[in-house]
Amino acid sequence: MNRYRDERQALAAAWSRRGQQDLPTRPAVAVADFQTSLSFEPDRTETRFLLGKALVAAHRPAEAGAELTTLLSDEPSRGDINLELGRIAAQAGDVGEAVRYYHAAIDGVWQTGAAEARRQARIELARLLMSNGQPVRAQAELIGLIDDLPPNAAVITDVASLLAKAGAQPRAIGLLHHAMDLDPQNALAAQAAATLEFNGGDLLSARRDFANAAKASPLTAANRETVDVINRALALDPYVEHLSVSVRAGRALRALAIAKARLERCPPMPELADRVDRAMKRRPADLERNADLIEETMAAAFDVERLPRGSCGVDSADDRALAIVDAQHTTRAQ
Amino acid sequence: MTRSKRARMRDEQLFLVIAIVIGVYSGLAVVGFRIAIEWFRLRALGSSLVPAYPRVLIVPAATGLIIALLAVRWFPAVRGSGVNQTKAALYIYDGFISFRTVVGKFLTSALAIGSGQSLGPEDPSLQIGAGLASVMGRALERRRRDLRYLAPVGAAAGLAAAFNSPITAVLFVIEEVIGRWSAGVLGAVVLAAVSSVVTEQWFLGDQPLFRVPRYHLAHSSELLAYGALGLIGGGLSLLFVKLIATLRPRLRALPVWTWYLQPAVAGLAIGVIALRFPQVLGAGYDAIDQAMHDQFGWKLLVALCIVKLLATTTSFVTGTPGGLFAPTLFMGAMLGAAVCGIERLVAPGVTGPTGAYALVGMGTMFAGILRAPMTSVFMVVEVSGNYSIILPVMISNTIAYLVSRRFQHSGLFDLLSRQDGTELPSMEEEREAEITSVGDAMREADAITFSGAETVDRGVMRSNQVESDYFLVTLGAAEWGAASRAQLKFWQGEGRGSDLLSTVVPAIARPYLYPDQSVEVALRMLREQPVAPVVHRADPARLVGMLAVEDLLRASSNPPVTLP
Repeated sequence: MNRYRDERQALAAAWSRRGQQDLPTRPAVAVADFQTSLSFEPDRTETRFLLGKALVAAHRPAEAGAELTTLLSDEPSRGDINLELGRIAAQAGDVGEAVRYYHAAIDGVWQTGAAEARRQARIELARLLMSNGQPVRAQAELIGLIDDLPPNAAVITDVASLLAKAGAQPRAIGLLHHAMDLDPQNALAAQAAATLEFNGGDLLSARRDFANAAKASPLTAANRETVDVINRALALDPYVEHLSVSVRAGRALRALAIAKARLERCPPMPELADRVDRAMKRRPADLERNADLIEETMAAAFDVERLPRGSCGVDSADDRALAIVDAQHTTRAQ
Repeated sequence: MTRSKRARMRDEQLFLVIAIVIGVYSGLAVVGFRIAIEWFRLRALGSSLVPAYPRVLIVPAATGLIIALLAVRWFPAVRGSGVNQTKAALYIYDGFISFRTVVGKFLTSALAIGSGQSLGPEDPSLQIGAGLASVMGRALERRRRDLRYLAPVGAAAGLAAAFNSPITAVLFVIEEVIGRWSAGVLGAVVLAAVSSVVTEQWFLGDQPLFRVPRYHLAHSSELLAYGALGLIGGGLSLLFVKLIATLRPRLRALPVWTWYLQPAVAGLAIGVIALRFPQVLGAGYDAIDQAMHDQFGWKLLVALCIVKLLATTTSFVTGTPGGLFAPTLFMGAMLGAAVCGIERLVAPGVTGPTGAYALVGMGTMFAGILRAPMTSVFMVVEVSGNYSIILPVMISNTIAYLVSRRFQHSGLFDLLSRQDGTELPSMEEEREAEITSVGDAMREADAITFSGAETVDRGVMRSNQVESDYFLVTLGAAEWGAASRAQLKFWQGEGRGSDLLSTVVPAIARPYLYPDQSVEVALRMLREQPVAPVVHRADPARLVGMLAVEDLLRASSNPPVTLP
C-alpha cells in the first residue's frame, strides 16, 4: 500500500516538475504535464494552480478560469488564485469582475512575499483601471499604495510614473524626490521628476532635477534640449520676481526680437507686423519709464508666438522658450 | 420472548455482522482491484495521460488476446459487466458465485481497463463484491435464503467502494438487482456499503472520483436547456443500447475461434481512436473531471462523447470484461458540458457552470442507458453534495428515461440477459406492474350484507336474489360473520329457518382487511377463512366490502396496466 502511495506521489511530483519546466516555453505541453500530475494526486492544490497558470499561458482563459474558480471555492482567500482570476477577467474585458478579483488578491492570503505580491497586484489593478479610462480610481489605488512602499528607489519611481499618468503629478513628484533621496544616483527618478516639473511649469525645479540627473548619467538629447529651453525661458521671462525694471525692459525687447524673427518666417500678416514694428521702435528707456509698455511689448511677442506651430517654419529654441514664458504668464494671470 | 424468537433475532443480528464483514472484504478487494488496474496501466501504457505511439496501439490489442484466452478458456463467467451475473446468482443459483469467477473477474477486468479498453471498474467491483459475499456465506454455512441475499449485499459493497458513493450503490442494488425494499436486506445492504466505503477510504483516501464545482441555476430558462439535454441524452442512450443489442449477438454467433480475437480487435480499434482522442482510454475519470472544469471546447466534447460511445460499444460487444458505469458517466459528462458550451453561444449570460451540466448529463445517460431512474437522480445529488441540483436532474433524467423507454422496450440489462438465454426478472417491468389492492378486488358490501336480526329463511330468500356465494352478517358494532349460500340452505333444511342469523352464523376473527392493503396480505388472511370483511381505515365500524379468494383470482386475471 505504501509503495502504491509513494509511486503515485513520485509520479505526481515528477510530472509537476516537468510542467514547471515547460511552462515558460511550451505552455500547451505544460498543461498536459500538470493534468497528468493531477491524475496521480488530484487534491494537490499547487499543481491545480499551476495548471490554471499554464492554461492562461496557453491562451485558454475560459478553461483556466473554470479551473481556478473551482480552486478558489476551496480556498477563497488565496491571493494568488484571485490575482490569476483577475488577470483572466481583465483579458476578457470584464473590468468589474477583474477589479473584484484584484481587490480579493490584495486583501487575500499570500504564502510568501505577501507585501510585494499585494503591491504588484495593486499596481496591475491601477494599470488596468487607467487603460479602461478610470484614472481617478487608479489614483485611489496608487495612493493607497504609497504608505506601504518599500525603501526601494526603483519601485517608488515606477509607482510615481503611474501616479503621474493617472493625473496625480504633485504626488508623483513628491514620490520621485523621495526616490532621489533614497538613491541620489537614480537618474531615472530625477529625469522623471524634472520632466513632470517642466510640464507643470516649475522651471527652476525642473532645471535642478535635470542637473541632478545629469550628475548620475548623461542626459538624453531630448532632455538636453529641454534643459536648453528651460534656461532660455528663465533668461527671457520678464515677469520673474525681484528683477530690476531695466532688466525687465531688456528681456521684453529681446522677446520681441525673437518674435519678430519668427514673424518674418510666417506668411504676411500686415496688422501684426505693424504692431511688432511699432513696438520695436521703442527704446529700453521708454519701457523703463512706463511699465505698461513692457506689457504691450510682451503681448505683441506672445501674439506672434501663438501663431500655430509649423505655420512659420521650424521654431527655434527661443520660440519654444517664449511660448513657455507665455504659458506661465497666462497661468499666473488666471 | 420465546426461545425461537430469540434465536431468530440472534440470526438476524449475525446476518448484519456478516454484512459488515463482507463490506470490509469487498472494500479491500476493490482497493486491490483499483491498484491492479493502475499498476498494469503504468507498466503497459506509461504514466502519461497521452500514451506514446506505438504503445497505444500494441498494448490494448495484445492484452485483448490474453484477456480472450483467460475468458474463453478458464473464466467463462467473467464476460460482460457483472450486474446480470449477480442477478442470476440471486434468482437462479441460490446466491452461488464461484471463487474462480471472482478471481477471473478481478484479473481480466484489471487487464482490460488497465490496457485502455473503454470500460469501467464499477460493475466488475459489484460482481467481485457479490462473489466474495457468496464465498463467505458458503464458508459460514449460511441458510439458502441468506446465501441468496448475501450476493446483493456484497454487490452493494463492491459498487459502493468502486464508486465511493454508498447511497448510489444501495439504491442501484435495490432498484436493479433486488427490486424491492425489504427491511431485512436493506439494513444489511446499507451496512455493507458503508463499511466498504470506509475501508476503501481508509486505504485510498476520501477524495471523490471527480471534483464537483458549485452549482447554481443562472436563469430559470436554463431548465429548457436541461430539457434539451434530456432529449439528446435519451436519443444517445437509445443509440448505444441499440448498437449493443444489434452487434453483441452477431459477434457471439461467430465461430468460437473468433472469440479469441474479438477483444484484441476491439483493443486495436480503441488504440487507433486514442491516437487522436486519448481520453477514451480506460474508465476516463480524469477526462470527466476536466470536462467538469471547462477544459474542453464544445466541439471536442461532442467528439469525445461520440468516440467514447463507439469505443465502449466495441469493447463491450466483443465480450471484454468490464463495466458500463464509467463509460456511461463519461458520455453523459461530455454531452452535458457540450450542451452547456452550445448554450453559451446561443444564449450567453443565462448559462450556469459547465460542471453542473456535466453532472446532470451523467445522470441523464445513466437514466437512459441503465434505466435506473431513482439511482440516476440520487447519484448526481450524492456526487455533487448539492441538493439544489435535483430540479434539473429530475427534468433531464426523466426525459431521457422516457425517450429511451419509448423506443426500446427492455432495459440494457434485461436485454443482455435475454441475449444470454436467461430470463431474469426485469426490475423495470416489476416496478411498472399494476399493484392490485384489496379495494380493487373486493365486492361491494351493500347487497351481500344481512342483518343479524334477520331469519335464516329470509337470508336464503335474499341470497337467491344476488350472484354472490358468500354473505356477511352484521353481528354487532364492528363485528361481522360470514355464511355461504349452501350453509344458509343447510340450516334451513335442518329446520332452523326461523332462527336469527346472529345465532347461527359464526363471527369472523379480527383483524379485518382495509381497501389499500395488498393482495399478499389478503391471501394470508384468507388462508384461515373463506371470506373477510373490508372496513374503512378511518372508521373500522364502517363496512365497505367483502373479499373472497375468487375475487383475488378474478382481479389478478385482468391484464396489468403498464405505462407507455
